[in-house]
Amino acid sequence: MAALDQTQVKEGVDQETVDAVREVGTYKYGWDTDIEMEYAPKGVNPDIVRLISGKNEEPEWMTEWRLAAFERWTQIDEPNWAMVSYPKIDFQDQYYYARPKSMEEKPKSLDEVDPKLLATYEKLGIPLKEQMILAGVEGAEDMPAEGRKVAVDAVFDSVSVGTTFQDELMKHGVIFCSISEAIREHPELVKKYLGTVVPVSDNYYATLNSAVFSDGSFVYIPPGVRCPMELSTYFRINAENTGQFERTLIIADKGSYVSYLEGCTAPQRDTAQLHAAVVEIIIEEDAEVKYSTVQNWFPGDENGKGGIYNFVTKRADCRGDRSKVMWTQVETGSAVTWKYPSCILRGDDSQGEFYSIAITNNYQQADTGTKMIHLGKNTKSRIVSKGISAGKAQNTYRGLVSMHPKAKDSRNYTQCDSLLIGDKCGAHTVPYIEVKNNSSRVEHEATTSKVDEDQLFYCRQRGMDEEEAVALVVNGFCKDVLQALPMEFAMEAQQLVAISLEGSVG
Amino acid sequence: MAREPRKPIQKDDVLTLLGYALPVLGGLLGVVYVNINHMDFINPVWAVGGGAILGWVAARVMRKALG
Repeated sequence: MAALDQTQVKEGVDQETVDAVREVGTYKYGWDTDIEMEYAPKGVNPDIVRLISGKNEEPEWMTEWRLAAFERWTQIDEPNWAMVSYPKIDFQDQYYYARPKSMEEKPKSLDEVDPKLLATYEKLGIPLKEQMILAGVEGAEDMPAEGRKVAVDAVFDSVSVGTTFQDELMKHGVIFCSISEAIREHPELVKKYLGTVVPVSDNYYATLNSAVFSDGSFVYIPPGVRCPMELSTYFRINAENTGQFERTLIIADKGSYVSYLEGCTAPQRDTAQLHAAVVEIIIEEDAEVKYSTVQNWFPGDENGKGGIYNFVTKRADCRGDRSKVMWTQVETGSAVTWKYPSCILRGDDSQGEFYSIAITNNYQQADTGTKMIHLGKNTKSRIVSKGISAGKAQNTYRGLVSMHPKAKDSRNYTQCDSLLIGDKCGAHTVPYIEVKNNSSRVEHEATTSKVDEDQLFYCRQRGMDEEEAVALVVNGFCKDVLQALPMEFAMEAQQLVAISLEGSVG
Repeated sequence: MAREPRKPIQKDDVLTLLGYALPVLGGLLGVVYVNINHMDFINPVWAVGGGAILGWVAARVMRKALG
């Protein structure tokens, strides 16, 4: 892009065209918002943990819970079994809390809101009506909005800026708010469920998250309620040298249903940033949860400089009989991804599904997969994983299917496909299968292939350029997973797949 | 030469058609069922075959019932 910046633009070419050309092959959300921020001192220690807890006005039990997690974190080592390599992270050389100064007090009118914050939302493509609500303007919720279908919780660095359609959801008994608000307003629910799916000492990053999580989303769907709209969280890292540690807790009570979407972006910087999140989902009898993610963190530049280190622990616990969970994820961003959304199929006849596309280009590394733990009778799970590697990227699928002795007549089907573009990238598959009873059945299929030259030739002789042809082939390869995404995300994900592979051919 | 007037569709025509249409419809419904209930892990061959046989049986019953 530097070469293009120095190129003299010919007379008569409008600025829009120049900007459009400059944007090709670059990370679309790589800009940052120049906004006045408030930081906690660098590093992590018990004082920082107390400070974060204090900023969120948390009760004493929560502070103690965090401190116990921090104590545990100091005793455990960083895991090194994943097939990713990155420079050692200095956990004391980054900020653990950053919030816009304008968010110190909730603004009461649009005039009070920092215009830069509003411009950020506009640039990220959040509609104007929602913009007011996301900026936390009181009363904006009552304004009519056309075609509103998705409630949003927007997390900006360490704070939740706002949650839309809370009142409308509350009419149905659905609680949708930031986790900090939930700790204050619904402590009984948080106390009952927090840390029950992902325990405090589950793993290194989950333990760190338990100690320093600053915000995130909380959802409670009461018994028998079908959530009237899709819920979503949008994570934006803006501040430099700051980690984002958010926590999401979703509780689907008996016979309820919810579809939850998650999106994320970050500015383009030369230094890597840490993102360590925890998602816990509790699903009771006959309830169903669909969780879809489009992960588009900054992946680093074409030389592997910068990017987000994405260490995420996501787990769903199907506690009730006939409960269902479906994870769908499109992973296109972040320099290093370490993520294994899991399903604990505890209730009899419960079902878990996992659909994933992981695209790595340039120097990106992804070690991702799932865990299906069958505990209940007649439980079923399905895994469809598509990994695409281009440039010098490394992509690993790591999955566990475990059939416990009591999981009689359980079934699992795993399909794991890898696609290689170019001759310098790598695709690795590490499936673990444990069957501890005689009546369960496990099927596993895996393929590794290169983009078929014949298919490319066929497309090119019909007037497509090579990048378009590759995008078409890759979209076909990912079709099974893209179909599982909600409509709101499917189109975006399809375009993202093509954009992520720009520059990978030739 | 004047064209013969077109014969109205007779009951026999419908009964004959049922013998072909219902097995095909049964097979198609089998495909739909497999796609909608993918977590039931049903073998598509059994679903299509079963649907076709059920359609054939249904056609036989209807033909018997309608004389």
